[in-house]
Amino acid sequence: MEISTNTLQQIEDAINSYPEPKSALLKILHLFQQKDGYISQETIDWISKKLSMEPLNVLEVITFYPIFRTKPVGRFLLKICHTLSCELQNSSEVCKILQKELNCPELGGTSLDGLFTIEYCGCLANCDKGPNILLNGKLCQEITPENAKTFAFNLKRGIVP
Amino acid sequence: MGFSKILPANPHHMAIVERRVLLKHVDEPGYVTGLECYLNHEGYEVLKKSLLRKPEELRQEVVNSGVRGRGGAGFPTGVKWNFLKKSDKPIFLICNADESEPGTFKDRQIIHKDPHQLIEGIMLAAYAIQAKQAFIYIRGEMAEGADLLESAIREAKNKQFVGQNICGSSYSCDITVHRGAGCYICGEETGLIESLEGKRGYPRIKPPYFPANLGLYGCPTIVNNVETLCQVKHILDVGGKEYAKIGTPNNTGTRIWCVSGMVKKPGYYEFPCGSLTLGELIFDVCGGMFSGRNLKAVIPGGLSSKILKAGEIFRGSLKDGTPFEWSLTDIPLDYDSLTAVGSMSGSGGIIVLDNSVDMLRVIANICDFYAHESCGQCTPCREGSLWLKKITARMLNGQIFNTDPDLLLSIANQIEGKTICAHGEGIAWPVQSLVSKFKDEFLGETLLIPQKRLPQAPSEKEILARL
Ligand SMILES: Cc1cc2nc3c(=O)[nH]c(=O)nc-3n(C[C@H](O)[C@H](O)[C@H](O)COP(=O)(O)O)c2cc1C
Ligand code: SF4
Ligand code: FES
Repeated sequence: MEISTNTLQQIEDAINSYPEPKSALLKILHLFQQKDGYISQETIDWISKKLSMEPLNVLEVITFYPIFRTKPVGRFLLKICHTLSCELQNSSEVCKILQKELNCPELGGTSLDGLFTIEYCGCLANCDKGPNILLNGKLCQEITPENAKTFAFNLKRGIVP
Repeated sequence: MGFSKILPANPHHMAIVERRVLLKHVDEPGYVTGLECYLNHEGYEVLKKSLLRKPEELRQEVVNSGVRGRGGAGFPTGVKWNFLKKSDKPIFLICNADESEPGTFKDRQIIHKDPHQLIEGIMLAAYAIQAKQAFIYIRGEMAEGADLLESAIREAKNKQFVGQNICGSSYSCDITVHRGAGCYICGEETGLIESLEGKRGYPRIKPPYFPANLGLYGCPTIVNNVETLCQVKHILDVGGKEYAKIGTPNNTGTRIWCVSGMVKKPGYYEFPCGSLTLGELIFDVCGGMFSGRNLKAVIPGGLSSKILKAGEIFRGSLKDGTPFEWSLTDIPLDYDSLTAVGSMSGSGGIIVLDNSVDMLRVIANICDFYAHESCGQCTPCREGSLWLKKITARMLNGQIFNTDPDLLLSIANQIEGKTICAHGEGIAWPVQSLVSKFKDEFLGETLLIPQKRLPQAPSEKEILARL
């Protein structure tokens, strides 16, 4: 497995920032996922050696946390907040519109062109400006049923708010 | 509005103006997150002067201030700090920046708009409890916030406000930012500690795992919310006794109330505890209801708090024995009043519902959230929340039996008090309160779609079969 010296350095820094190396696991997983888009079996094996853990123990952590993935997703990952305050502003309607516009019939699935994945998520702590969407980690607020189409239209052209 | 009050909710009834202490510079034009700007606004001055004092003096100031935790439980911070016993193990401080209680968005404002205020608060608390290292546990979804904090910590380190020999003193302490990864339950302090140890965020059993005793790596640990730690800075600035003059006895200091839902001006507003009523917040500060709509209910302290219904009359007596009789809008915004009316101020997340809202949708949404977020360790919470979700989803689909309210209540009652962590109450309380207060609506008696109501109740066996 090829890992750049820069990434290796970041991993060392992560480990050194904790009294116990194992604490760095989440940080390292974030690093790999940011780099590769998901956590591969190869990555799991590499991390388990690095932190002297069983691969299974790395996997059990990955599967507990919704942010970590073991499969690739679309180039744009949209997490739509589905909790009460956003839902009061009709976030499920927004979701339906985006699913249609971006060709993602199935929640959690990826559009055929490999560009978009849509899923629901819990409150994003921005409830006064809902409905909220996390787009590749960036918060997009006030995506309403009225402007969702425009949002999708722009996104298809790579324009992010 | 409403009834005559036996106890005036706001004795100093005057024009309602926010009193921004923590949010003083937040949203101020020209105020940016960099260190230079913070220093130009007297940043790190409190840290400098406090490092000249003894840690136990600082802890006493915090005790004197009476400040209570802003993360949810409202436990007095000074008392919590004094649970730490001297031992040969290192002490750790964790700032809980998980902010995952639905309806809450106050910590985000501080992290994004005034990160150095938080860092100063953390260093002050760290020095006061003599922590060896501090951590900020920030939720995984807040990647931008984590980056901001990381760069603010780097800046502060360069100027010796964090790290080795802080401000030239003999005290050293580093801050590590730890990102979560999308689990609500990692906001619970012992789940958070597990997660910080690089494991699944399963909450621990208390006792024996009280963090002050057996926390991170089995060492004494203090977990405090972002807002609480920022309060510490202001306590040590003016002194505990002086700080305690803000707010009301046992409810000291200001609080940031996060208002969302069906009001004209949702947002975050900072007020001294007990200085205004729920009605004043909703109608005067937040602009009231949308035109033609009426207030229906309020979830006052984050999604897990018990719902309060418009038209209810709350009667009882406060801790000091003073009787009260309030309508929903009369309730003073502080810890004790919201507890007295059977709910809680929790995380300060106030969700306002008007008469356009279908309460069945609300309960189904809440159950869906908590069922998804249960960590699965305890049977009552794992199975119960899933059942509540399935039943309310079925009801939302129009299949409603008149035995459903009792069924929902019986499940909720079997969760409450029988679980490892308070997530159990987090699902039981909203369900219990929603069902008992809006039962008629669920059964269709006051609902817009009368055909939702089924004439004959099936037996429990039949219901189970249909789940
Ligand atoms: C299910 C659950 C979720 C919680 N989430 C948070 C949270 O996101 N942020 C927070 O500060 N406290 C949260 N808490 C409360 C913490 O367990 C803990 O009481 C708090 O961080 C202590 O800080 P304080 O004393 O400053 O309030 C949560 C509690 C439970 C039971
Ligand atoms: S109450 Fe629920 S969330 Fe808490 S430990 Fe038990 S199963 Fe997990
Ligand atoms: S409910 Fe969607 S951000 Fe809080």
